Amino acid sequence: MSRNIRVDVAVVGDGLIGMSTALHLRRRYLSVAVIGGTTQGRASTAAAGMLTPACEYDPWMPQEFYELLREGLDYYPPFLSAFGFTPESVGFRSTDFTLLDLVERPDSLQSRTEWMDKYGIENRWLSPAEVCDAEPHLSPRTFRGAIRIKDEAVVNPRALLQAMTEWASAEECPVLVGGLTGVDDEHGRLRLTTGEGDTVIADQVVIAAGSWSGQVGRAFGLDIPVCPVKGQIVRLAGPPGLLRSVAFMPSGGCGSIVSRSPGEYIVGTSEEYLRPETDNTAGVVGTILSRLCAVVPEAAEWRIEEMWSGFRPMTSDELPILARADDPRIVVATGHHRNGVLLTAVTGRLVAALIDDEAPGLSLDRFRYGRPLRPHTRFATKY
Amino acid sequence: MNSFTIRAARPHADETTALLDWSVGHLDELERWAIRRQVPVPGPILAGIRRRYAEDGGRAPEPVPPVWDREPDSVPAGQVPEAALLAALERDLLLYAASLAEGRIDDLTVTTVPGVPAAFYAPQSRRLFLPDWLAEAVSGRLFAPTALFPEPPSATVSWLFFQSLVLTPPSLPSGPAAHVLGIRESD
Ligand SMILES: Cc1cc2nc3c(=O)[nH]c(=O)nc-3n(C[C@H](O)[C@H](O)[C@H](O)COP(=O)(O)OP(=O)(O)OC[C@H]3O[C@@H](n4cnc5c(N)ncnc54)[C@H](O)[C@@H]3O)c2cc1C
Repeated sequence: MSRNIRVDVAVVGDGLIGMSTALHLRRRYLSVAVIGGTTQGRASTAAAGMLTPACEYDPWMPQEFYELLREGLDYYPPFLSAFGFTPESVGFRSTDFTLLDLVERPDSLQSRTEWMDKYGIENRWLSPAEVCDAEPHLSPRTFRGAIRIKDEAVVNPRALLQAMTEWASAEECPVLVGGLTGVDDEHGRLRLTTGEGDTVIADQVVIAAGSWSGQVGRAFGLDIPVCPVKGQIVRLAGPPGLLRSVAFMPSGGCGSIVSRSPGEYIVGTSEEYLRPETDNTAGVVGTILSRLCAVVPEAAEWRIEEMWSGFRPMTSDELPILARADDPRIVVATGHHRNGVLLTAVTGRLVAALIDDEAPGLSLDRFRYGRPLRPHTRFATKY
Repeated sequence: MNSFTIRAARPHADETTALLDWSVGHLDELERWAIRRQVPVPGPILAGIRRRYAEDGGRAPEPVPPVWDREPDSVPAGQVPEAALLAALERDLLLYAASLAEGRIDDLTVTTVPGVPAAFYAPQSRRLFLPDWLAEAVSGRLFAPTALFPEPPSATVSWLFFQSLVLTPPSLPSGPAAHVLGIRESD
């Protein structure tokens, strides 16, 4: 039977960004309904779960973005405790990152320590011998050294999404399926229809539909210029405890080896701009695995458990959109690209503040809706 | 205010030969270029280059001086059959005029060449060579519609220049123009 729901806020998108937004809105005692779409290609369940401002920020980006990433990391522990999620239940833990200066890169990474120092990031350049001391399972044939970054974190994005979805159900925040299929005006409110025939009438709407935000935005007459950037991941099983940190490999699509739970290794990834299919391909998986086996030779014996892919929502300036749209009833929260897991918690908090017309507490001007953006470009696939 | 102008030049037969010779000497980069950009190089063109590579072990004659460095007989871009594409390229590259000016590039002469496998850039003469089959197939969308993404985002055609292979001597590795010129396409 189809449902007819009246709420203060409807959130379109049931990935990490949409769910975190819904949770933060609910904590403000607003009534909320979430409309979700397909699970195919969803970024939130594809992600590795690294929470690493230091590895992900690049100095060509505005400083406000670094501040946002940093706040994203700092806010994780209070966010988890505010919603009653234990760190263990969502796989959250603090960890160091080893940013490997791979020999396959033509240029060295060592100069990155300069801006890290400037931003107050606790880091240290390690010689190849020091890398061997810190990470005895990595082969020095593959790197010229590394930057060791202290105290960043990882989370299991699948577990986090599930925990948030359960929290929402328990707090009377319905999560409807079938995707948004229609939008109408109803006496100044917005009437949203789903593919299952449900109707949600809302005073305000948050668009958080990841790579589908452009499509969803069009239904509201908005231009939300995000494109899907595919990334492939392989999950392997091997002996536990081989890595003491997350190995970040800034080559190709910026790969990583993340130990998600003891003996479970998440390895990626690619950046593919031109292949909107959820498949895994020989070129990408082959390269990911051969780089893994070069960096950690023992990995040649690890068992492949699973592989998947998902689509990161990217704007052409690679910054998110976190702002009210031209239609003041709508807030847009998307474009998180490579950092949506890191920014999950803080985005929910900021968007809830925007909905309540409160000052968000961080400068969001760089992330405004309607800022001048170039059209997307056909980048080559990176892996 | 930065400017950017595109001119056109008609192809010479020796340019096709020289670009094919170069391709034989850089087959690895060529194959990678096509795969990573989802560019469907016509089978016979690629097969011909692979065959020559197999026969002469990747050694191709080095043109002296390279034909792509000579002054082209340029004509206004509006006078060639691919005028619409060149207008789009000029419009899109204008978005990067400031970065291009840093690399001292404020014009480009484009030649559409039959029978070549990729887009090539000759830095000396600022000439861009585009395969005729690619020029005919360039789309203003990022990708073709799929069930998951039925409405693909629109895209610039600037990649035809930024990702063209830079014509280096056979002994030197090449790379896409944006990389060689140090231009960030997304800034
Ligand atoms: C391979 C890979 C690795 C990554 N690794 C990391 C990492 O280590 N750290 C990090 O911080 N980030 C990482 N990311 C990025 C991160 O996953 C994303 O930025 C983030 O998950 C985006 O979340 P989202 O909720 O905006 O989008 P999504 O998770 O894609 O969710 C969008 C939701 O919108 C729904 N939807 C679609 N159409 C409709 C419709 N018509 N109506 C209603 N709903 C609709 C979909 O069903 C989907 O559930 C990675 C991404 C990938 C792909």
